[in-house]
Amino acid sequence: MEGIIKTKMLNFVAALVIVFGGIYLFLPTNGYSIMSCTSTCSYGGCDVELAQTQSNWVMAISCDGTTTEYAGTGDYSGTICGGATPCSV
Amino acid sequence: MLKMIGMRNLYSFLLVILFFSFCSRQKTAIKSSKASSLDDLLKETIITNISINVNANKKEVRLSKKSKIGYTNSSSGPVLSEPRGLIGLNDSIYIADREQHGILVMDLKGEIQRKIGRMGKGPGEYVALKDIFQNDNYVFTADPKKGEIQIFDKQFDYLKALPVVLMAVHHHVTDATKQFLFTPATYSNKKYLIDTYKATSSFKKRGSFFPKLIPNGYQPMAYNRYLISADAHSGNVIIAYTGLPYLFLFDENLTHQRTINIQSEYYKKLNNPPVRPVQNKPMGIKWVFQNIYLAEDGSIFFTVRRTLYRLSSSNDKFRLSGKYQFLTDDGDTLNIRNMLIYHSNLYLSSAYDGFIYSIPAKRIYKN
Repeated sequence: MEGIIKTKMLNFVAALVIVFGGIYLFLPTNGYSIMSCTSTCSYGGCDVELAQTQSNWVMAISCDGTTTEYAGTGDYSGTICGGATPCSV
Repeated sequence: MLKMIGMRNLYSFLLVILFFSFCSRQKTAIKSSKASSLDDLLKETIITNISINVNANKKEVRLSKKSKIGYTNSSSGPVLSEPRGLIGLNDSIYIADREQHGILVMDLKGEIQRKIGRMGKGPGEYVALKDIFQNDNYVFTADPKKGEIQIFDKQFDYLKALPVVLMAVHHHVTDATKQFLFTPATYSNKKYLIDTYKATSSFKKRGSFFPKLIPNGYQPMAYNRYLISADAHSGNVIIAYTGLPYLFLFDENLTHQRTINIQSEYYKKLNNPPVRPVQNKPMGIKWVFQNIYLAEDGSIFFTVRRTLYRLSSSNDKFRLSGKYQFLTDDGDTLNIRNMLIYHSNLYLSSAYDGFIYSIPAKRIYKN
């Protein structure tokens, strides 16, 4: 009786290994699942760019040959270029 | 009993297959780039210190009206609008034009001949084209809003697209050599800033390299930004963190060869915060270099403010050998977005007014 249960357990584990292993093997190898948006606009003679990814944001402001770059984690909560909403410009 | 042994063999076999499959999927760092921090990078090779005095001894180069090129003779032809990247190919200049959603082909006299690509989200189409670069066999175009690098052969037949998170304003965040195609690393990569792909037909990912300075979730994370320029013929690459005064030189195998420290009063005035983790406080940094460009002859060009500097090398030693400001016919100092040396001419695109200028390259090769 114990042997039968053991065999059934092993078969169950084998089935799990085969199913999940199969899923894993057939996942796309480059794993392209990129969520992001990049917003660019001009304001006061400067180029403004905001890139938002799943976990970070980076904002670059280029004026007169100088670029200042800010970055943070999470979602960027402000507006850019005098009131525009990021990802809509 | 036999059945049990058979089942166990099957489990072992499956586990072995899964193990090797898992191992083959791991994206390891390129072995020749071992550094995992700025300190590591600075200790890896000798450092060459080169001082630049930002305010002294600039050579002014006047750009005449004749040197302003990119005109269209046909009334219905494509008009140069917002150049974002330049390459020289087949005796023409190929210009990535963001506003035109395509690549403008200009002959060496400066006339726009045709346009490749159009607005859209399909193959050969663009939403916000940002850059164009090439190696010996392929042309690559980068579109941050579309989130991909499109790959073409040299006749501009579409081959493939790599989905990648790109930045729009910055120059040279992607480039390619014979062996490597460089793209920004995914944000989930904890250690490295640059992903490398094979720069030949399979375009498979090869690994990652060049250290992140700031861990995810810490600040000033803006230090994790870089400029890159590659010379496709030699395979050499230079990389600079945007907020630091170092130029890191790598050979065709991505082995770190040299570090150049550009010393200036300007860098001191920037007063950028030190490289150290500062949690939960968004902080800004000012870029030191606006552009870097590695020329075929091994010269390194970089712009600080609106001045172009040239470093030349001989006997494996680098020295400052030129410092130029370009004055447009309006009397303004040109704000350089891109530069290209092709067929003995220097091509400069302007960051704000959408013009391209061409002058003989010997004007920036005079000592």
